[in-house]
Amino acid sequence: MTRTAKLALAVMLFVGSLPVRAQTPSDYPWMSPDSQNVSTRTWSISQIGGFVTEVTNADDPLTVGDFLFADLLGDGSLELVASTDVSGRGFFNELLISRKNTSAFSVQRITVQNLESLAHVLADLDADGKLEIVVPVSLTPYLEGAVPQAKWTAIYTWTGALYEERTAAFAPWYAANVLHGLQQALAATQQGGDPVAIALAQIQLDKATRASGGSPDAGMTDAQALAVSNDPNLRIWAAFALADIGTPAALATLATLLRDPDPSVASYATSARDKNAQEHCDRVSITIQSGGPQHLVNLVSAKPVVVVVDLPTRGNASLAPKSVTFGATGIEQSLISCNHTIKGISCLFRASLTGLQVGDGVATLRAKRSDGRCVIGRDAVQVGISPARISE
Amino acid sequence: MIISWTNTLEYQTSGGRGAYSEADAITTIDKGVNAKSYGYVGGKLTAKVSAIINGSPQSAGPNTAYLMGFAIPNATITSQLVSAYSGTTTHLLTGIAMKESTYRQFARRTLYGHTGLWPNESYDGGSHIGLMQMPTTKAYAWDWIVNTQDAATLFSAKVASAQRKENAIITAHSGLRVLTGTERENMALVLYGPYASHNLSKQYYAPVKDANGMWVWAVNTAGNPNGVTYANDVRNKIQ
Repeated sequence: MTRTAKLALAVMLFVGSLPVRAQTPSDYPWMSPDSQNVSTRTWSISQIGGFVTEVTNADDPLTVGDFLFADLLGDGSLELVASTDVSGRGFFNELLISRKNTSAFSVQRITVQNLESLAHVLADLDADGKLEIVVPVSLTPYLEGAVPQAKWTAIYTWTGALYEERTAAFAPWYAANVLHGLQQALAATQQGGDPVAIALAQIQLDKATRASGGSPDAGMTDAQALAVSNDPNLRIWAAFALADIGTPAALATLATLLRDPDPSVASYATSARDKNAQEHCDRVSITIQSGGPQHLVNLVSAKPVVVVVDLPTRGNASLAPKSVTFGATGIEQSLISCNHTIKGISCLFRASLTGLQVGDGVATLRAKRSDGRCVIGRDAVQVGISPARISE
Repeated sequence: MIISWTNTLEYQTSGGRGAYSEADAITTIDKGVNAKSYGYVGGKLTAKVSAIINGSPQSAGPNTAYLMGFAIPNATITSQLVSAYSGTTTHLLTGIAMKESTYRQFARRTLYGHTGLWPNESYDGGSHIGLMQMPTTKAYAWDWIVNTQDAATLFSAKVASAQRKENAIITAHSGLRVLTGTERENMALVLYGPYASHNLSKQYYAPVKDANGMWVWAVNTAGNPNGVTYANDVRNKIQ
């Protein structure tokens, strides 16, 4: 054997002895025109679980229920859509949408109800070349394993920076594809005569009616009837239906359940009221101005995150400056200050207090207007902690 | 005379979860007995018998029996759950069991056309099962000890996870105190339940500023109201 051949053999043996790093989706192109793109590979559930655990910086392993790669926006870039469980018990209650940016991955989370399969979740409902996300969402809370949860079908659509729930914008599709089925389900349960099944079918139909642009207080009578049921679980369902309706009359009935003699009902009614306070806010446009076009947020930087809120600078519709919270869910007390600028109301936030974590793709701002109404706004972000990776 | 028996034990939830069908063959000779026992497993048992009698193949069956669950005394369940957890609130797992299953590993229902004590399955066709509503498997459906022990192990992992999240929040919020053992269990209860989240703003407690501008913990009814109520309900149901 020549000296060169011996050297080549030694190199081969050395390389062969090195630990082999398992391939992950991050090793492949995320552009659909590329013939070797990430979607052309076969990935196991556990490989995708490991990947989303890594990109979300989760300290507990995420379990994946189902996943797929798709070009959601028709722009040639692939996204990974995966339903995930954090509990370790197989509650696939979060849908993660992961996309690869220039320097890292960003992830948007959508809360869903135990989504074990992604069949029928993606569809271009308005034929604009961008896929809508159609998912089941809980209306009533988890009470125990054997007790049903009411759910409804929510439609998320791309609004320019992220996916947001806009079910009412798809009313014709909803009427044909969702409401009709719920009406048939209600008729079938009414024939069966089981009062719990009837109540479930009714509040699901009522919610779907409200969500798809029907009367905002559709189902009010049904919910009020359930609120005086002898079955405590039905009273809890009533509390959440009433909170979802959210009108003064509905909240007045909900208030009676806050004083329910069954402590569990009273506790859940309180939860429903809290949920109402979070969800019945006016949408407001916000723009994260720091961090360049990708809204990079560096969690270890002392530089504040700058957010402009599209509200009048004066009058009742203006912002109550001290009420502003901003971060991963919008409840985080990260405010430094707000000022009136030419562009609108500009607020500064301390990045380390936002609750944002590496991989987060959306930040939320909550605030109150001077007239007491709450507002909520969301914008896309890319979060990191390394000065080398995330410039300011 | 050699008699051949083929026994098939099968089970799946009402929604087709956790399905298994296990066949085994045994033989008996003349009027002899060959005992076959089933431990911590159940379902529909179908037996087929065949033999060659006077040179002619003969068969009988199928005959069907049902291996069902049984009522476990509450005191027995409590004893098992208390011994399985050594955290601050010694009876905490009894609250989870009451919340998740109303203390029933088995519940009366009809499966395979037979009404009896079948594994207590979740409403959605049985994605979860048993006392602690673990993900459906044969063992979690029929062996209540495995169901509770693995749930206890999982919950202990959630306490450790809660500790990590607590540390991360404290690191970001200077002056925030360490949680007590009971408070950390509340964090872990949210992580065990269906409202678990990796998001630090969706835990049982969240950091807020008090009147003096100091960081303190507050029950996170704004960030995860359903998770908070789940945890509170578990505590209310402790046996």
